[in-house]
Amino acid sequence: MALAQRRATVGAEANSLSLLRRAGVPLSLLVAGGLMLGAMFLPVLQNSDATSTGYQIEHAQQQLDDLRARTYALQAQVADLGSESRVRQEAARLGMLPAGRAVDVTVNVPAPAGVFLPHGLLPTPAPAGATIGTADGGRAAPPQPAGQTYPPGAPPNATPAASPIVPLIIPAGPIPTVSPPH
Amino acid sequence: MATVSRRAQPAPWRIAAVALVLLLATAGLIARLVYLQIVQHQDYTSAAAGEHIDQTTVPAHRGALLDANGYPLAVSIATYDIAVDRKIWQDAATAQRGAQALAPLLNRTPEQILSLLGDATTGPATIAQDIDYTTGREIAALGVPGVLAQAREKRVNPEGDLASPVIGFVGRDGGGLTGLELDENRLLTGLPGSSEFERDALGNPIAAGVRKTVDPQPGSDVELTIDRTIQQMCEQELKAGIDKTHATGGTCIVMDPNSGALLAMDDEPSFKLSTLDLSADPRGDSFKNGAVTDVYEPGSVFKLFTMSAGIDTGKVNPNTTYIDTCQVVVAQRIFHNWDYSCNGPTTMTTVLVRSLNLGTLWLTTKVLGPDIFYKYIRAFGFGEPTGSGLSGDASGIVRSNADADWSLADLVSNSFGQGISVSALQMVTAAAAIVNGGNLMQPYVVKEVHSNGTTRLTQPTVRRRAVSSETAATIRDMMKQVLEANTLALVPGYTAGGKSGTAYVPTVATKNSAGNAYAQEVTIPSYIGFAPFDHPRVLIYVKLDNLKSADFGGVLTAPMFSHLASEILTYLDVAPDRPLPAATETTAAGR
Repeated sequence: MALAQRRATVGAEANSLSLLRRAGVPLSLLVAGGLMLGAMFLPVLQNSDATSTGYQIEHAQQQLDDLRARTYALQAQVADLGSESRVRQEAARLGMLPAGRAVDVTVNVPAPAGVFLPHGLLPTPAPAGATIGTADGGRAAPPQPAGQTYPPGAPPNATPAASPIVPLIIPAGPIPTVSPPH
Repeated sequence: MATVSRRAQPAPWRIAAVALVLLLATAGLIARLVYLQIVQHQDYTSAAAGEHIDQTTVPAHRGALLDANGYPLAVSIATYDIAVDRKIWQDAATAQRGAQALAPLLNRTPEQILSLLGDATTGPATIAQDIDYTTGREIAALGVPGVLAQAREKRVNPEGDLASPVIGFVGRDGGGLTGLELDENRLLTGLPGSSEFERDALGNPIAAGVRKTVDPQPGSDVELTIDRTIQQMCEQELKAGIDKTHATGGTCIVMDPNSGALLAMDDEPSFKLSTLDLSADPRGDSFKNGAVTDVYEPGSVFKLFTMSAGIDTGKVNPNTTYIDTCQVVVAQRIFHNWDYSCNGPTTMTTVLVRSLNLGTLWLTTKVLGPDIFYKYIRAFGFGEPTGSGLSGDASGIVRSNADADWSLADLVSNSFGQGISVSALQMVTAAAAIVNGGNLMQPYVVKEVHSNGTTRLTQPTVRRRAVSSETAATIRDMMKQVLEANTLALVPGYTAGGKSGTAYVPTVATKNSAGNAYAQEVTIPSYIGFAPFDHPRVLIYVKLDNLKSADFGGVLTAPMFSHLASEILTYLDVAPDRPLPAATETTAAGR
């Protein structure tokens, strides 16, 4: 049945072609006509594609501009939030006060036995004539008491190297401040 | 019978005439075509392009001004200006519809928008300026007839009024008008781009049309040497000083004496960026940085340079002694010390410690002479711009023995800082030469310029050697003694050096019969100092203007220096180099 139908279809096509041929239209002319039709539609397709791409480019460019503008606005917002005046306001809101003077103190007494201290807080050997806040800041390397590491039980390499930092001892109570005369 | 009709043949000349006419017409057409399409090709192409092609300038993003740690002091954000083509909105219905469409986005009523059109019937009318980018885009997308949304940039200052005279501001066109916005405009502006596109009948770009785009090159980010925290400290200290003393203004400058980098600079009174009103001062006289542009007589601070000349020539040393009498007459003018003291044998160190006018008088008239004195004054940069690159960089006024109306009295006055005009920036730059070992540095405020991923670093520039390093060290030692003689100037925890000054202000109105033009009751007290002594990190100069007070610089401005130096050194994490001073009796030796 299907075979019969297919034969009928092929037969019809053959008949139409043969009709054109009988009308005196050569095959080459038909092919050329087809090509011409294709060539006519090609610019339309190209134009359509170019238009579509143009819109996409324009849209992407707009997105880029939007993102740039957003970036600049965010940068300004970050700068505003991080401004000195705002930081001061927020600090005041949180109950913070301007820092007083930081006082560097060289402690020239041995550490209490059995108390584990960070190396930065270990006492320095008392150099001759050492005073509080010496010109070199009293930044001598602290000694390495045997058997003391910090934190307790940490491997030896966890102990910080001899720190050049002067230990900062904050005394109990309010930090002493020095107000210059006005 | 057949008949043969014979049609008459036209005469050959008629055929020739018609042919000739046709030929001429054809030739004329060809000639016209040649003229239009070849001779005038360019003109017509341009005219056609003008009809179809539109071009817009794409503004470049203006670079930011950053502080020494990269915090923005001035940045630009994208905004829109909204304008209306009044010709299109002449139609009442169109205008009403447009105004109603815009009203909710502009937070105005349609009536308010229509009232902004004014009386003119043509041309654009701006109805909103600097609206935020998103709203501007929404208005542009509405496509309301006659509404023009123009992309712009707006300058914002995240730190508010901080360093207003240094930063300056930009105009509506985005160009810098004053301050660093003007001085660095070329770097900040960048290169604008352009967009050329084919447009439709309504003027809208044709997506698939001809399009040529040149991307704008954003301006460079300019990182300054100004540190916002130090600037804040400087401004607060100056404001407190002015409020306390009722001075008419003042100046505060903080410099790294080793490089010449300006860490902070403030001058009052000055404009504030948050309350800028150009209409209040059409000439723009107040939109300046007075620390750079204004000159004044410095007073006794200037003795540092007189003494430097004496030490550097080897003619005196700190222990050289002169006999201090009560007064000296030079060129028929009577000179005396600020406290009318008679000190007898006095060393050069004491001259600075007690700020004795007769000491510098002796030094310039008996030891140095005008040629040497003025040579050193010019070596310290007085009488010429500092080369900071800041606009209005004043030269000051230095009259010397080469000038016609100069007299020995001028030499004497100049030796203690009167009769000579300097800018505050000149004073700091010259003092930095003493502090850094003798090199006169070129002060600068631009630390780095960031552009297209590259960074250009400003290298400190030595303009010349003012004095030898030995002389500079000697003067520093003397400055240390000067400072330590005045407990008001002591910097808690730090060794330091300094010198105070109090200048009388010349006013023609108060010129007396003896030709004295100085108003005794109006002074400019100042203090210049550095710390720490061994490795100076900061050089600080504070002065108060036109003070109507009997107090001297050593009393008024020395505490300002002390407080400021202490705050700045703590902020810079500079380790103290001396014990905190015990409470001592306050003494102020110099003026």
